Amino acid sequence: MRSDSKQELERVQRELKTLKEISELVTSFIDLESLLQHIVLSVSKMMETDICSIYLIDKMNRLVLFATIGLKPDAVGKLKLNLGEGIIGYTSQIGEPISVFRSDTHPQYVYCPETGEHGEYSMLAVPLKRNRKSFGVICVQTYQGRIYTADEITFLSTIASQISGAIRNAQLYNEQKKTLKEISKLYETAHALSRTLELNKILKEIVKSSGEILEAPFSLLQIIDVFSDKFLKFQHGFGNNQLPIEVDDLINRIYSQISISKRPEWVDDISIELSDPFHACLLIRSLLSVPIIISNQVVGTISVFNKENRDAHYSQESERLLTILANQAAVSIQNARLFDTVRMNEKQLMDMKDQLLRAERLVAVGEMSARVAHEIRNPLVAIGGFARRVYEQQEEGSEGQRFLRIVLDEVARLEKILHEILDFASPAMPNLQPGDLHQVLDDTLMMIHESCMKNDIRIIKNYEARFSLIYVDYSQIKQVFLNLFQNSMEAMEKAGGELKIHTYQAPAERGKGNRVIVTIRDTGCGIQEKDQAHIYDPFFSSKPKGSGLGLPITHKILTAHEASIHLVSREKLGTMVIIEFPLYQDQEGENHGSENPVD
Amino acid sequence: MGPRILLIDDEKNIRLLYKDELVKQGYHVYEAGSGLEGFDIMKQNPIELIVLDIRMPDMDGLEFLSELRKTNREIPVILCTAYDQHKQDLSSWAAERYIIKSSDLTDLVKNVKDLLPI
Repeated sequence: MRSDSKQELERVQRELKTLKEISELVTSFIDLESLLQHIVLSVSKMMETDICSIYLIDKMNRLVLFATIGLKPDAVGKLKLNLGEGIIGYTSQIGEPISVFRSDTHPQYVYCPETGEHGEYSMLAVPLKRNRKSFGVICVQTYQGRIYTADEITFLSTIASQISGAIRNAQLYNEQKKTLKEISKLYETAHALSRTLELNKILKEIVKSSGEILEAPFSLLQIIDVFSDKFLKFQHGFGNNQLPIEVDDLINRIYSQISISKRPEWVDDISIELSDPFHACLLIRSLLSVPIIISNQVVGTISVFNKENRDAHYSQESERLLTILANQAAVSIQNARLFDTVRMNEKQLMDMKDQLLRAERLVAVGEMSARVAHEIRNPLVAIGGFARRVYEQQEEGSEGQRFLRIVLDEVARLEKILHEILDFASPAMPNLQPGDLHQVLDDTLMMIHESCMKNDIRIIKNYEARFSLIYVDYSQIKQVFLNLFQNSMEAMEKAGGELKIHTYQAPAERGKGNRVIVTIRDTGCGIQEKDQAHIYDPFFSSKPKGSGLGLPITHKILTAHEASIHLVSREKLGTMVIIEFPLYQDQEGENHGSENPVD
Repeated sequence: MGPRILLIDDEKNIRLLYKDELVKQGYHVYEAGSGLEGFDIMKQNPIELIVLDIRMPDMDGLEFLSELRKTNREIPVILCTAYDQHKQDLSSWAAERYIIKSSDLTDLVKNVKDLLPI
C-alpha cells in the first residue's frame, strides 16, 4: 500500500508538473500552431502515450486535425471529420470524454488511412469546450490496450479546459495576423500601383493581389476596353490556360447581372452551374465577383474562385476585401487612362511638330532646288543640244561619236534628276477621282512584269480587300507604286526573290473612316538601320545612282491623297511598305462598290 | 523663205540651239532676247508662230503673252520653260502649247510642226 501511495503521489506530482508546464505554454505561445504542437508533446510525454492529437472545428463545421505527435505529420490540415464521424467526431458531438480499450472495436470507429493508424490503439478523447459548446477534441492513443483511469480522464479534461481559452486567444491572434497580412498586402498593392501608370501592369497586379489576399487559387479581372468596346481579361492562377467556355459564359452572365445591380454576386456551388468537370479538377467550389465602378458605371469585374463554400463570415470578409481592391483598381484604371490620354496627346503633338518641321524643311528645300534646277536647266539643255548636233555630224562608230554618246547619256541622267527635283519641289495638285486600287496595282505590275521575270523575282498577289474604291490621281499613284516596286526590285536584283502585294480592309478604329491597306513586301537586302530614319529626307539615298527623291515624292503624293505610309525593314531580310488609303465614300457616308467577290 | 517663227529667250545659247534646229527643219527664225524686243520684231515682220521662254528679265514670258493676247489672238504660242510650275498659272493657258525645255529637241520640233506645218 505504501508503494501504491508513493506511486500515486509521484503521478500527482507529474500531473501537476505537466499542468504547470501547460500553463506556462499557454502564456508563452500566442501562435496557434506552435502552441498546439507543444501541448501535444507535453501531454503525450506526461501520459506516456504513443499519440496525442488535437482537432479543431473549422468554418465548414468539420473537425480538422490541427496538431499531432505520433500520427503522420502529413495528415495535419488534411484529415477532416464531420461532426459525429468517427470516435473523434462522436466525442465532439456528445460533448463527453470517451475512453476505449481498442478503437476498432468501438461502433463509431472509422478507418482514416491518412493518419497511418490502424485501430489497434487504445484511445481517450476529450472534447474541448467553450461556453459548454464543443469546438474541438484532444485525444491520446496508446499502441497497447489500455484502460484509462478516472484520474487520467480528469487530468486530460483539466488540460482541455485549461487550453480552451488559450486556443481561443490564439485563434483570435491568427485572425488578427491574417487581417494584418491582408492589410499589408493591400498596402503593398496600393504601393505597387502607385509606381506605375501602365494599365496592363496595374491590372495584372490587381488580379494577382486579389488571388493572394483572398487565398483563392484562381482570380480573374475583366474590364471593357474604351477603344474597342471589347473585354480585356487578366487572370491569375490559371497559368496560360484559356478559361473553359462554360466558365467564361458563367462569368459573362454574372457580369451582366452586376452591371445592373452594381453589387457583388456569389455563386455558391459552381457545379450546379457547370456540367463540365472543370471545377472538380481545379477544386473550385464557389465564385465571388465584385464590380469595378468608375463614375457610377460598371467598367469591369474582379472575380475570385474559392475552394470553400460560401458562409456568412467568409462572404462578408471576402466581399469587403475584394471591394477594396476593386475600388483601388477603379482609381488606378482612371489614372492610367488619363495618363494614356495625356501621353497620346503628347505624342500627337510631337508628331505634328515633326511633320511641321519636315514640311518647313521641305518647303525650303523645294524652293531652293526649284531655283537651282532652273538655273541648271538652261546650260544643260544647251550642252546636251549641241552635243547631239555634233554627235549627228560624227562619222558612225568613230571615237568622237562614242565620247559624245557618253556626254549625251550623262546629260540625260542629269535631266532626269532635275525632273525629279522639280517634281518634288512643286508637284502638280492631284486630280482625285474615284478609282480602283487593285486596278492601279495591276496596271503598274504589268509594267514591271517583264523585268521581274528577267531578275528571277516572283510576284505574289493577294487581294483580300472587299472594298477597294479610293480617291485617286491615277498617274500619281501609279508613279508611287512604280517607285516602290522599283525599290523592291533593286533590293532583290542580285539574288531574286519574292514581291508580295497584299490588300485588306483596315480594322475599325475610332476617329478614322473606312480604309483599305496595301502592303508591298520584298525579300531583298533591306535598309540598314542607320539609314531608316532618313528615308523620307530629300536627296538622301542609299543607292549609288539614286536621286534621293523617290520616297520623298512618294510620301508627298500619298499625303496629298490623305493616305499614310509606313516602312518596316530588316537588313538582309527585306522591306515591307504599308500604305493606308481612305475608302471612297459618297455624301451619305456609305462605302461604295468595287466590292470584290470573296473566294 | 520658210514659215516665220519668232524665238524669244534671254539665253543666247538656247536661241542658237533652237534656231539651228528649226532652220534645219525649213523655218525662218527671228530671235529676240526679251519680250520688248519681241514686240519690236513683230511690228516689222509677219510672224506666224512664237516660241516663248517664261523666265526672262524686264518682261517675262507670261507678261508678254498677256500683252500679246490683248491685240492678237491668232498667233500660236509655244511656252517653253525650265520647269512646269507655271502650268498652274492661268495666264499660261493663253498659249497653245506648253513644253519643258530639254536637250532632246524632238518634242519642240513636233509641236512646232503641228501648229505650223511647212
